[in-house]
Amino acid sequence: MNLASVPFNVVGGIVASLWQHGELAPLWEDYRCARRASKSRRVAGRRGRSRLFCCSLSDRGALCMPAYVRVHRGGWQCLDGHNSTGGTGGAGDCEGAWVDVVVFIPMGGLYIVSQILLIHFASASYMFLATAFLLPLQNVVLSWRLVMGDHKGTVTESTFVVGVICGRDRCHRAMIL
Amino acid sequence: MQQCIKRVGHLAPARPALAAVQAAAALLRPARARDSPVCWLALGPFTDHRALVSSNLQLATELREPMTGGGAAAAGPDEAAGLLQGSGGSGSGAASARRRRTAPPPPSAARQGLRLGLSTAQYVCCSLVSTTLFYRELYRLQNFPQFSNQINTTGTTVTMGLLALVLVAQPCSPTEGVGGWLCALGLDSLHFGDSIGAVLSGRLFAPWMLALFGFLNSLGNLLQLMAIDGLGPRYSTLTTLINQCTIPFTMLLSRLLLRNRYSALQLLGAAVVISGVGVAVSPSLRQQATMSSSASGTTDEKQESTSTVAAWIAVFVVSCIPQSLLNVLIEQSLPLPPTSVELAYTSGATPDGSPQPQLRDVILRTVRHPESCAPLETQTSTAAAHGFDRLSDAAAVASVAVCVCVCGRLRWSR
Repeated sequence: MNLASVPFNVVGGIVASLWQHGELAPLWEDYRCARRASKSRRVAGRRGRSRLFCCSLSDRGALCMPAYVRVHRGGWQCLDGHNSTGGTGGAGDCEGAWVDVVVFIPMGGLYIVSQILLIHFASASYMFLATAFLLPLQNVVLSWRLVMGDHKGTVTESTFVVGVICGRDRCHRAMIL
Repeated sequence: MQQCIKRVGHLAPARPALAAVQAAAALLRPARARDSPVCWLALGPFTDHRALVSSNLQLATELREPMTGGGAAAAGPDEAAGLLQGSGGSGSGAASARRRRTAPPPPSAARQGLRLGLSTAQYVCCSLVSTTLFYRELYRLQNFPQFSNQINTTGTTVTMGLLALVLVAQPCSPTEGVGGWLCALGLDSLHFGDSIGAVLSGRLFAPWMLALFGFLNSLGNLLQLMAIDGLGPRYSTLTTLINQCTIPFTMLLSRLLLRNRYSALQLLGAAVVISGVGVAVSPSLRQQATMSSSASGTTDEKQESTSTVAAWIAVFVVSCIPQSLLNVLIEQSLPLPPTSVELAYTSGATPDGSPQPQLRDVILRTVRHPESCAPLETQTSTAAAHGFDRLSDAAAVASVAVCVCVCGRLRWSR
């Protein structure tokens, strides 16, 4: 399924990049141009294959690709440790980003495998239940400066279970530290 | 490899894709494994299972004959084929009775409980670590969420592909390198190779279906990544909660598409999830509104800030819909009967009480005909690898290893 989603990721990535950079308008205009041409052809009673876009594929590529390439180039530069503003916002915290990527990919694979194993040995309902019980713990970890650094989240109500156990204030302080 | 193929004798790759996977598997197979009985177990997915298991069954019944005292030799390939189809009724009544007598005992409740507990621990560790790493990666690459999505999907695909190839190629033995490690995770019980074979041989390989799965997966991921990126680290804990919306959405879609019915208790559970998300989201929005009002800026900017957070939360909720639809579609397309290799590997009995062919039958075959395969020591280790005694210890080791990794990382961070 992951393999099947790769081409869709590319297309989705292009559309999202264009949208986030406000560059979707020319593509939309291109589409509307084709609609107008199709309508006028129908009104005139002429036959012919209706097209989705007016511009040629290469022109559309010229419209779309720069944003996509920019995002990818910026992404690779970020992995290389160079902060870049080629993405959706300001400069990020790219130093050591490659470590997170390299560690996450095999762990992501292991997670999928452990998910399959749990469904195999128990059931999908059991897996969802385990995930639900894991939520407070997950929230604690995501709120922990020690793990998340400057990107730590704030503690939400779902951590109340942990809060009840060890005293909310003390826990909160521990998470902030 | 050639020796192994010659020995199997039923090798019949149905498609070029199968042949390609098989060739790749052969490259990964260690030299020692080529001479072991596992070679044809590993090649199982690419062989004529029916013929293989039938012959094993025949042999196994021959071996059981002295023990049961019946005319077991009468159990031929036809009867075995009937058993494979799950009918269990193709033989005579005496044969059925004989099968019931020889049915293996089901795994004990304690062992099942232990296995469940260990796989849960494994899941909890992997889920916790991978989600944390995912968020860390995303916030590091916060300007490039699409790039992050792309690299994660591609990387995981490659990793899983390699894992599948190794699983197909490697004999599962706790003492052997990568294969042993993979077995330690309990992966051998999934019959990974068979699943790949099943997909490639056409049972699930409907291109439009795969494309739909890919599209939904991609759409869900993309929306989710954009929402996490848009909300920022402050709301990371909230997003893990909102992700639970998948459960009620899945229930709703399975009711609409599959006409599944749910009990009042299950509906109550879904309602609790929805109200829980509401309880978690509303204070965050109120908090955001308070922060916006206390911050400097025009009224429009403050309103925009609150509405932006609300909009991204809405995007995150919407991102659960493709995931839920994916769950429902997978449920719809995966009600597969057990495959022959599964039948050959699993213990227990079919619903009608007839025994399933087991791995021990396959091992018995190699014991009975030692000239055709590897020495007995190899067979013993193979039995241990595919048996049920090893899983608990090995899974425990794997889970502890994951915990040690996490602790090590924490210490390193400190």
